[in-house]
Amino acid sequence: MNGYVEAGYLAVLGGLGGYSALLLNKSKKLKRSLLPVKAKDDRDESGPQQ
Amino acid sequence: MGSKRYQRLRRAMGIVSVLLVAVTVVLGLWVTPPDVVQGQLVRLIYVHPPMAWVAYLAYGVTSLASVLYLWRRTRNLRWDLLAASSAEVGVIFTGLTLITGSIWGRPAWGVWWTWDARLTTTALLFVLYIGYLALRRIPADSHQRAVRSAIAGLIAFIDVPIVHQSVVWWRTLHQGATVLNPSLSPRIHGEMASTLLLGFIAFTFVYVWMLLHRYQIAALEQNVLDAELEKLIQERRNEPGLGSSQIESSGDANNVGQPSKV
Amino acid sequence: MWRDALLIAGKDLRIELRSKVTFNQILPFGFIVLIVFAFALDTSPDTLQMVAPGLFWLAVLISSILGVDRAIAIETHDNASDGLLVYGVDPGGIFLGKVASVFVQLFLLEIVLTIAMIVLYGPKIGGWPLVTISAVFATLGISAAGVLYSQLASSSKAKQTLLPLLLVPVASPVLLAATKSWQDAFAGSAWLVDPWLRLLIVFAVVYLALGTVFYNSILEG
Repeated sequence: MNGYVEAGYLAVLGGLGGYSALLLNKSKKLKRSLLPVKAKDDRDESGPQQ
Repeated sequence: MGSKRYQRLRRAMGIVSVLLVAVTVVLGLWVTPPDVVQGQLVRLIYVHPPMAWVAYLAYGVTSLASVLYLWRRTRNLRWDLLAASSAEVGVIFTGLTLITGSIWGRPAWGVWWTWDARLTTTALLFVLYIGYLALRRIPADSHQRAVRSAIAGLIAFIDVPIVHQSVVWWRTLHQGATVLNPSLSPRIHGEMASTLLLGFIAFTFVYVWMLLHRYQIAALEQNVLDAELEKLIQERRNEPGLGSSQIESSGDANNVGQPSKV
Repeated sequence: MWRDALLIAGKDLRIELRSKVTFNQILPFGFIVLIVFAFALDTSPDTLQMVAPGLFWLAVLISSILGVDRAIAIETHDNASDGLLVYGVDPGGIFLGKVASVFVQLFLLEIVLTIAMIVLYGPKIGGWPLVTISAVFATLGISAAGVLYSQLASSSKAKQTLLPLLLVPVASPVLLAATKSWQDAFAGSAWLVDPWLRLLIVFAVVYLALGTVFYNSILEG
């Protein structure tokens, strides 16, 4: 079209897609860390928490 | 965390959001006609205003949840987590509002940025809520953090009309016409209007889906923190020579992890 | 509440009289800000005269960040604010007292900086009543918002970096309104019905009210 329109749509899709991917990834990691594991390796598995 | 039904609902919501956005994009980019005045550029109208709308919606939810936390009768840590989640999603959408606005402004007005009242207010809003999120990152116990950020969220919201008014005056009292040419705003009818409406609905769906996800993450993180705290307290209690009555665990944070009715 | 406010303000001002932090550090800082602004722009008298009000209020805003940070630091050190609460001092009173003390210090700073501005930038100042009244309400607004946010950020180790991020966007209407009303005043308008002055009054009242209501929750929460 004229470059600007595409850039705008790309920014929106990229921004929202990127943020969604971040969310999905984070919740997957968190769920894994909350699975009951042996007390010892609990800490190693927990991943980033903040 | 989360009953099966709740998770299924959220997944369905995600799929519907993706479909709606896809339809909006197809309609917006290829099906709708170019505008008489703006030409192809008008296609940005299907994404830019919805971004701004969702941003305001998100901040509205943040303020409402902040009030509900501050009011003692409805005080629940869930409101705090909801406020935080909504603010974060809101910041994402505000950022996209600024980016798409800038991309639109360049060909339409010839500049990436203009000191238009709405633009300037949005930029200040962006920074205000980044500040709110930064304030939340201060380590504190969950109640203290909740109170402080609820107040900050509420103040930010109250500040918005003042900021807006000042910026509007700034642009109008000392300068005749704004750069925003009224003839540039296209007349909308027919399939353009319905595509725009669809855009609003689609991105609102995206917002709700993101909010649900972000909220779940916040609640899970809170659970992890509580569990670790509980463990540390237990360890301390089991140490010899320490009366167990000296330490009490905080109880109010434990019921956070349930799926809420947000 | 008012009695407590007076007590707190008196205490803080006495601390300032003895330590002279504002006088010895913040005031010279504001002065140097005015000087380096001229470096950044141009020394042509026209430019400096035109932008004088804006630069002045920006210098005040930057200095105020240091001022409110200092005002709250007095209390967070050794958890002195807990002590005040235990003594039964009204939290709203603490807030108003802090604001009053910051207000007095900032206002004195503004008087000195105004003289410096007149000497350095050479603007011609018309309507003095509008200049004074807007300065009063702008300073009140900055002090109230500043004390409130400084207390919000006070528990953080990163508060020196967090406070400007929180305060500057919130106080931006004050910066705008004070600058514009001073421009009107410099241009000779002395009438006090300037819309910018109204905005300054609204801002000051809103933040004084918010602070008085919420200070209790911030201190205890």
